[in-house]
Amino acid sequence: MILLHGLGGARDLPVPAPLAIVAGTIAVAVTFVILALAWRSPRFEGPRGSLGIRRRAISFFDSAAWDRFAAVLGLVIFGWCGWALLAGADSNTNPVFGVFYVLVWVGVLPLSLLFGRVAHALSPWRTIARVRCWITRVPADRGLFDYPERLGYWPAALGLFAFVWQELVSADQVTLSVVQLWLGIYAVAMIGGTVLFGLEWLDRADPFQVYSDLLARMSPWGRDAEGTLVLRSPLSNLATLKPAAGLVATLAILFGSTVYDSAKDSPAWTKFVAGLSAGPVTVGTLALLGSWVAVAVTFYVAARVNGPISVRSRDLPDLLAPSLLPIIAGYMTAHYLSYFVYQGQITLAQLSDPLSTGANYLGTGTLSPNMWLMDHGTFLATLKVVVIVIGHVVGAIAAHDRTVALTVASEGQARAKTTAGIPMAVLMLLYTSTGLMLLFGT
Amino acid sequence: MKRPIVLAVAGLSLAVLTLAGCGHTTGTGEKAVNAVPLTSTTGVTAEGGIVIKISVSKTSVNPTGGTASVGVGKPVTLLITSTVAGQIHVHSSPEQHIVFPVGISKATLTFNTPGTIEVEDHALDRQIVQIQVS
Repeated sequence: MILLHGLGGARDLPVPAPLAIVAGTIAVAVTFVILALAWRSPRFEGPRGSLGIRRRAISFFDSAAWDRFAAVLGLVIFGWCGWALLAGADSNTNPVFGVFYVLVWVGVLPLSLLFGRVAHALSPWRTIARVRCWITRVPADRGLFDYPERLGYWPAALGLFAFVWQELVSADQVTLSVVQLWLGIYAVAMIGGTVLFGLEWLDRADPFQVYSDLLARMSPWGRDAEGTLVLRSPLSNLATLKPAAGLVATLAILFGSTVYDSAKDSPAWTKFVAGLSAGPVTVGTLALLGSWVAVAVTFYVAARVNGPISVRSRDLPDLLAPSLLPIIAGYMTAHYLSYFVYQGQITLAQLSDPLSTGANYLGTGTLSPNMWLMDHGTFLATLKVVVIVIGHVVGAIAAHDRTVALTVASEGQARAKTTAGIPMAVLMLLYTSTGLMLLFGT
Repeated sequence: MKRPIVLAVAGLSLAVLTLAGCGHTTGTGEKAVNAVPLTSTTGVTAEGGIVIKISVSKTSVNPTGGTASVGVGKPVTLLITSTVAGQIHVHSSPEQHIVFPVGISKATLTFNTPGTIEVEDHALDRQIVQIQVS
């Protein structure tokens, strides 16, 4: 049976047409305002942008004590869920499905936006590598080889594809043996990678950590030039994301998979798939790949013609890629919000009973989900479009600021009249209107 | 896992379940509704809600997609005409499934939370209808 998102439950109602149209109009209007304002020196990069607030209270979160606390917490969660994974029931009462598809995959979004590099802090793979290196007296950040920089984020992009395929396309989303296999391969890849390449492997190849680290660039938590933990405006933080190979591919799979997820629930798509002779898994795989490629190609083309012309167009996609992040975050929030609220509460209750024996170890077993958000459809629909519009506006500002920064860096000053920045603005309007249409059409 | 026999039984059940082809096993949170057999399709009224007519055979189901709208708390009557016995999965919060016999039967469901509920035939893996509750 093909389930949605990997777990069941009702979906949201389509967003009412008037709301979607108003949201789209606002997005268009704000985009033109941003282009018209055309500020001539970067607001979020360079000397003005790198300011951060240092405080003793903040530096606590950079201390070894906090680091160890987070590592232990991550290991405890890992152990509890591993117990449910290996010894639990093959039924949708096993909390491991909810942890995998909801608490981790969706939860990493709000947690990283608020608290920074959450996955990095909690990562059991990092803790395991550090313990192994402490036992064998080998420095943890070095492996047998240096991580090949040409690979960049590509392993994470492929890992993300493997995850969204399992979440959205696989016919065995809620089959324990299949999830065991997925997580087993993932564990071997992570642990093996740290042996080969050191801890940097996790920064480039762990799909969940890379996703969290990218989102953490939109949190207030950053590092200044000396490496001290500082609080900083999210847009300035976003500007510190360094280009690397595979960055566009990683962002494209994040956005493309959510587009595919929305589209596949529409009645039109369901009828289309039912009429094909190929099975739903084959069609789904091709459609997911197609979404990935479509987002990557449209972004790549728009970035390359965006300018400024003084920058090599080959470098532009990686340099402009960070501005996609706010749009991705907005769209994923809108898409997963009620699912997270509903299935997340169910998973919290199930976590008290990891082996489905009727136990209540953590005391949450009797929680029944609070349906307030789902009962208030108008509020939910409005919240969804507001979040998408905010994501669009922030992304458009980030793209324009980056274009200005690149112009100033390469030409010494921004020109008064320039078409640089318009292709990216149009692209973002395209993505946002696609997102709104999908929310409305399904 | 303390005893090998427990492991063996668990492994065998797992294999059987996987072979059964069902990627979704019933959890304790899922409700089973038995469809009530009828003698004819006439005389089934909507009672303030809607009636959805479904016909199932071994190889096909009708309708295959499409939407239906109903109010919160109003009855949704599924009027099933089938040449095989089977199950229909209803993706509400929480999920439920309808067990129907050969012949004509009906099952009445009510949904108390707004949302879009997908209804699909279990054996054929085909979506029947999307019910929009508002």
